[in-house]
Amino acid sequence: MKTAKIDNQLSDWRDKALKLESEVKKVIIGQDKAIKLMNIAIFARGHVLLEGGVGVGKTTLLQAITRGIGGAYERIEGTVDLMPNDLIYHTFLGSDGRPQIDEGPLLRAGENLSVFFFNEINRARPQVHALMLRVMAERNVSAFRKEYRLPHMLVFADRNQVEKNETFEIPSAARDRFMMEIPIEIPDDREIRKSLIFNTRFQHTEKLTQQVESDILHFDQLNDFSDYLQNHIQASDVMEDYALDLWEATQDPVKYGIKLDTVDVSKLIQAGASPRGMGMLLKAARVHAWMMQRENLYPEDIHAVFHEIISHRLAFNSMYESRRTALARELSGHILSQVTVPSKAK
Amino acid sequence: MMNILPKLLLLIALFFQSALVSADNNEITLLNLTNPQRSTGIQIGDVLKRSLTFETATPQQTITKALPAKGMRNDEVELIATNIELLKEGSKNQYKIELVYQVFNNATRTKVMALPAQTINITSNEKLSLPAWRFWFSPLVETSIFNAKANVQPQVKPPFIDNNQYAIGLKVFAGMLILSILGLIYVNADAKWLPFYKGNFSYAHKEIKQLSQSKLPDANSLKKAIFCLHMSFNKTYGNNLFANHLDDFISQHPRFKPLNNEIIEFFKLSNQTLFTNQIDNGHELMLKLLSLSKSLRNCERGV
Repeated sequence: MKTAKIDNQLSDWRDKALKLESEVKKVIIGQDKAIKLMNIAIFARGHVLLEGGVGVGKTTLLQAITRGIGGAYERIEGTVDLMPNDLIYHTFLGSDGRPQIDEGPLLRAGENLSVFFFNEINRARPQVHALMLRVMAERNVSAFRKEYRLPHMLVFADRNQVEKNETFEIPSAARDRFMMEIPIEIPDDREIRKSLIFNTRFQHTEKLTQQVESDILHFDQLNDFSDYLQNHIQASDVMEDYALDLWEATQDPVKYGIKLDTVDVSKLIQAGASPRGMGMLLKAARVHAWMMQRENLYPEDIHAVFHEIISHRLAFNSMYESRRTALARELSGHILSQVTVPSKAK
Repeated sequence: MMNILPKLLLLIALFFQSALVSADNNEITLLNLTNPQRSTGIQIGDVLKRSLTFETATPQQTITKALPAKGMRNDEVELIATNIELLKEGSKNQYKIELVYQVFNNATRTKVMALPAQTINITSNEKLSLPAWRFWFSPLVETSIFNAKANVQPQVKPPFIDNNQYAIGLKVFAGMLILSILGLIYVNADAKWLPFYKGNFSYAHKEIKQLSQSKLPDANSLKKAIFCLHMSFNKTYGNNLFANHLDDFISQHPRFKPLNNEIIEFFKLSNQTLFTNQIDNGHELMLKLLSLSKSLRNCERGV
């Protein structure tokens, strides 16, 4: 009886997750993989950093997803003069002509905040990054002599990799707080490209996102279900060994025979994936397994999220930092193709 | 009396003188006596010849009459033929006499026998004396003729059979036999020294065959067998091969296409075994792996 109830709960939530995906896909075309990954991040309760060029649909995607999650949505633009207090409060002159202080975008919705969208986060100063580090990790912030809890908040940030002027590189500690870094690229398919520029429904972003059914997931239940989900999906000892091998390969790729064409791999890595990063990897992989209607982790579950969770966590020696995006992708791809499942039988 | 005595003495002397002259004219000279060359291993039925050459003034007719009679048997040796031949004419003719004997002894042990001593009295004054000639008689069998019959052996070598007509067929058969043996070795052999042993799935099959010898394989054996196959897939593919890359694998290695369904099934079983720890029937699973590894090895070898 209890098992049937559990199965129903899992199934119901899976239906909701798939519905969210299908709803978002109705308005965002050519980004199916990114949509799926964001869906996984939502159920794994992980923050997401979107990376892509200008005007590729990052904001629209986030708005569409936020509508499906439900709850409050706040947004701030990263600029070079943005300071941490701009997230906490803002001052203005009231109707009575006296200065007033109001809660900033981070606090305004209180516990109902489900999505905080930080646009162009790499334009913000490191001081702002520092504030975000705490909020993302602890989901609370102290202000006005009290602690604001943000238990349901997910941070979706994006950064434009093309423009480098007046930007600040996000430090590795901040990058590590993001569960995923998802590349948003212009679709290759010509039919999709034609739709994007000729189909008039894509001209009005607000109207477009209104087509997504709202409150599909019930944001305030996601934390509990996520905890339950993580406990439900099991990993065999073989999978544990495999995950450990993958982790070790991010730290010492030479040991696993990994070679890159243009790079001396022995000098490439400064630091591999962190324990938090590997924990997030397994968390997201469990969500993928659940979406695939399984109760056990398979290597495919890890592969489905490996690039997006591990690549941005790899710290390279400075001589390779300028090529980090391409090298990180290449290295993570080689890790998956070279590390066997498992490397040896017990 | 005194007158008679000299006359008597003269008469006696004349008589002896005439006798001496006569003896000189009729003297026989033996020139040569030839006996058989072999004196051992003579068996029943063997024919032995001895010949003698001599000179005499006696006419041939007289000599012929003096020859011993055919059929004369002496100690199981029978004279079966005689022959005289005039070799040379002159004041004394030269003759050759040939005496042919046959042995009829059926002794069961070796024994010494002899061609008999023979005296041929040509005239009252002319005699040819032949000494006995001894030889070793060998029985056909050791005990009796009955046993000899049971042990009859050909005394002549069997004639050779012409095998030229069979040579081509034999060579073709030998060639086919060698090819068949090589084919069987190619298909079934696992020996490390074979050049084609180095195939990835050959190695996997051999490992799994060893693991499958246990009637009740434990989970560890099953995992090892699965790992062996995965390693072979990975090596063949050049990277880690997962279920979602199978189409790519088949397109790169179309020789495995006939086993597409079996490979998909293997990856399902592998996932179930390695990642869910659900092993329904270990022995059956091991047999499946053994069968699949053999099929993959055959595909790899192109058989």
